[in-house]
Amino acid sequence: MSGHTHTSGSQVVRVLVVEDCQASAHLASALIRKAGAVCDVADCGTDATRRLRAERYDAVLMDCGLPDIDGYEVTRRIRCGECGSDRERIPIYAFTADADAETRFRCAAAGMNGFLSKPIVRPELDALLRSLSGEIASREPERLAERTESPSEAATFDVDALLDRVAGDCSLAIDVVASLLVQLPSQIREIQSSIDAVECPRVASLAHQLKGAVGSIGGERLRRMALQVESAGHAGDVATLRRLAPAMDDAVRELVEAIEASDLNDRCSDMPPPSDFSRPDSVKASTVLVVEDDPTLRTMLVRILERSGHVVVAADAAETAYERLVEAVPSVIECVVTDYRMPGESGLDLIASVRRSDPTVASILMTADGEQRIVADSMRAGAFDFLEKPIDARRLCAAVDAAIQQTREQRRTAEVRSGVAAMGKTQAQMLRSQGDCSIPIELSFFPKLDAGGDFFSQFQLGEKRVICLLTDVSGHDLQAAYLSAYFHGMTRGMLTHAATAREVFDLFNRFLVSEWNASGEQAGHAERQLASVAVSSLVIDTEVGSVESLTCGAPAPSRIDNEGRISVIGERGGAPLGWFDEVTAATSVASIDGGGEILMWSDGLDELAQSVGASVLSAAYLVCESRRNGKSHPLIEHAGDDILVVSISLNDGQAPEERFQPLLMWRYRGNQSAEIDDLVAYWRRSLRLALPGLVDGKEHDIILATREAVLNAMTHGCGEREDGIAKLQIAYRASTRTIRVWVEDSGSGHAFDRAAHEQSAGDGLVTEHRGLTFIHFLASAVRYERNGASLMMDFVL
Amino acid sequence: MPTVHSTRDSSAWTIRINGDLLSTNAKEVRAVVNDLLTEPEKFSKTLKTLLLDLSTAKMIDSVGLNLIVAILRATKQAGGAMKIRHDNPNVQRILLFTRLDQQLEILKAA
Repeated sequence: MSGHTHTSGSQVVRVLVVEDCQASAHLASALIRKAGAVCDVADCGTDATRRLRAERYDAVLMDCGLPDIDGYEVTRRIRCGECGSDRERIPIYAFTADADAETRFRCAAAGMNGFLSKPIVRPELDALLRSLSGEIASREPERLAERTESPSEAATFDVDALLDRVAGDCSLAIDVVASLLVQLPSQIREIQSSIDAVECPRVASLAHQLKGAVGSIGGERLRRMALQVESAGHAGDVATLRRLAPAMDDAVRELVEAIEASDLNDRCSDMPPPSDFSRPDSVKASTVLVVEDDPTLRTMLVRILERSGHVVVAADAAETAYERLVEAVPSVIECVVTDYRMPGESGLDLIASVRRSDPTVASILMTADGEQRIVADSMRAGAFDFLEKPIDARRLCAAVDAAIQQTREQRRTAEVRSGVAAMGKTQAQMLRSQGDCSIPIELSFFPKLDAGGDFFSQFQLGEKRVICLLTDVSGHDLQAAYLSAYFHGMTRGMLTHAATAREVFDLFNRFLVSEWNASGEQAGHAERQLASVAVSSLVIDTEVGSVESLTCGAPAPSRIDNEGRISVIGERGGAPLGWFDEVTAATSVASIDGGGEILMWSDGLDELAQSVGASVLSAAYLVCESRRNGKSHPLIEHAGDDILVVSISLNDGQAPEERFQPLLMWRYRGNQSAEIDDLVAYWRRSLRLALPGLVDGKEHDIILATREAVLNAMTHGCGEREDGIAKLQIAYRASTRTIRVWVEDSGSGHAFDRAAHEQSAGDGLVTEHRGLTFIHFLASAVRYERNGASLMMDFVL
Repeated sequence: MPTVHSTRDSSAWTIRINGDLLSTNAKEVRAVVNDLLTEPEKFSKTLKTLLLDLSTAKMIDSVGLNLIVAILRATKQAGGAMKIRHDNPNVQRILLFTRLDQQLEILKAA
């Protein structure tokens, strides 16, 4: 287009470039001005809307990321009439370096008409300006004759353009020209008879088809003539049509003569046969459905794609395309290339229908000059890409290859998704149906994805002996789900044959270290991650009244007794299975006299608690309550990992709300009193997480009394020594709405007559032991054990 | 940010605490009134009213309360009267429970 000025009649195309990057704005405006259009630059969204209100523009090039309001929002505002009702429909093109599917969707959703890649390139810009000129012209039919794209200035037959378009494939060029020469007479006859019959819309449609066909072989003069006929047909301008009819005949004759006189055949015999169109190695040839009503263009498209190694299924209309799709083996067709304007259903309708029946297949829409506005619609209909006519062989092959890749990617993802969903379903079923168990167990499972590595199973070892196993396999994929299922299946088999939990752990650790992870490393399977399994096992014996714990890399279970005292069973055992050659974790045994409940959980719960700076036990309460009430919680929904909490009741037949549930347990050193404000903030967050309805006055009393008790334990009980330990436990029993706080220290306590002291402290302004007085005032009930070294406070809410 | 602001004129002394009065900031408050606490007689006839402004406090713990008691005793020894201003029901409960309302005037913050 060099030297060509983008004007439409007397009007110069005016473009507003909205771009905050100076260099990019400079380049764009220079190229636009060089192409003969007028260009202004706005450096932010506000500037853009201001300019649009004040000036008339024919189009906007919109950067999406602007400093104040982003390009999508600016577009929405323009479309809502913020810059005036006459500016609402102005063509807006995204000016972006990253036109991926998501960006395209966002642009189309915001109301943009298309894209221009950044940095701006001349051919794309010219195509855009050309289409703008066309649009302005179509708005002003009376100026049609004045258009600078007058047929007389154009080449009758441009062999170079043709050969360039077919990427130097002479035999294809000759075939395409031959095909055109066969169809041309009947096309012209049809146009002429439609003009005679004054069937203007049909004239426009036939001229459009002719335009595409002659455009593809480089018959520029006839193409422009056809464009004029098409425009006059759309406008119903019969006088112009009658005037153009003989001229079109002349142009056809000239084209045929020019073809005959051309050196196409001679040049082709001198030329070496072109190499196949190159394709990235990653894209294997595929089956492509081509839908084009014009025989010449259809032949050209089919030949180009076959040359590129694809199997091509061709159709001349949307209706035929549906038949071809039904005939094809499902999923064989990996790309649909369709013309937009065809007799019957449009290409847009076809794309939408194809997507409805198979959302994975990528489609490409071909549009003629001046149809850029269709691009936005095609994006909404789900098209993957669009091509502007006349079609260029290289661009076609590149677009088809990208579409095939996209289809394959989509189909792989769909396959994995359905596999994961099926696996997840099986996991959920297995979690629910584990057979009868002598101990009541509740599972609260909120998986991050459909399938994952968190799993729990229980197994009856004897009449009153149960083993509970909770695992968390690294990763959230099918591999994790598979390993988890494998572990639990293997465990079940071994336990049936009287193996111990340790023997199971040892064997699985050996399998992971020396087989699974080792084979992954040796085979160099990049996709196979090194696997580890965090696992916690509990053997609960209700006859003996004991629990045996073995934990490898998983959170250690906690127990709360019927008095609301919380204890950790065993230690959080260092490494998960799969890391080291030996399992080093030790088995620990604890008594379960006094009943209560045991909680096990996977580390997703720890992450959730940490994300809000609250205790893991209060998070466990939230998760269990959410499941019991059948309501999820935003924190659970947005958790970064699977969440699995297992609640094992040691009080047969008792409802969860009748027993104490742990909310917080922490051990502090005697010298931590200076940090008390931070500790208080943590307790407060934990209480609020578990009991969001706690009223302010009650929260104040619990926090203040606990503060006094913990400070007292640190300073008096532990003598502020680092090796002194102050333990805090907070639990809640829903049935009596009671918060129970235990504060214990490692000291020996001391005797104290609180009642006598309280009277003198109030009247005589005595300051000693005021904390203790506070506690009695604030709590509903207070109890001392071990000479005051263990303090229990109840708060009834 | 300092948590204690102290303003004095010939007869009234206002001590405004930013936030709670707790074991963790009691020292800072104590430093402001240290002279009064150690030698209250020096303030005789010059200190008529001491106003402890706890308008933004939501909690007073036992150490904070002990400090209030100490200031109250010293103010009384100096022949003056102490007032506390606050705006929180939990603070009010603590002051009433310790019967401090019988020893000083409690003002509601505006």
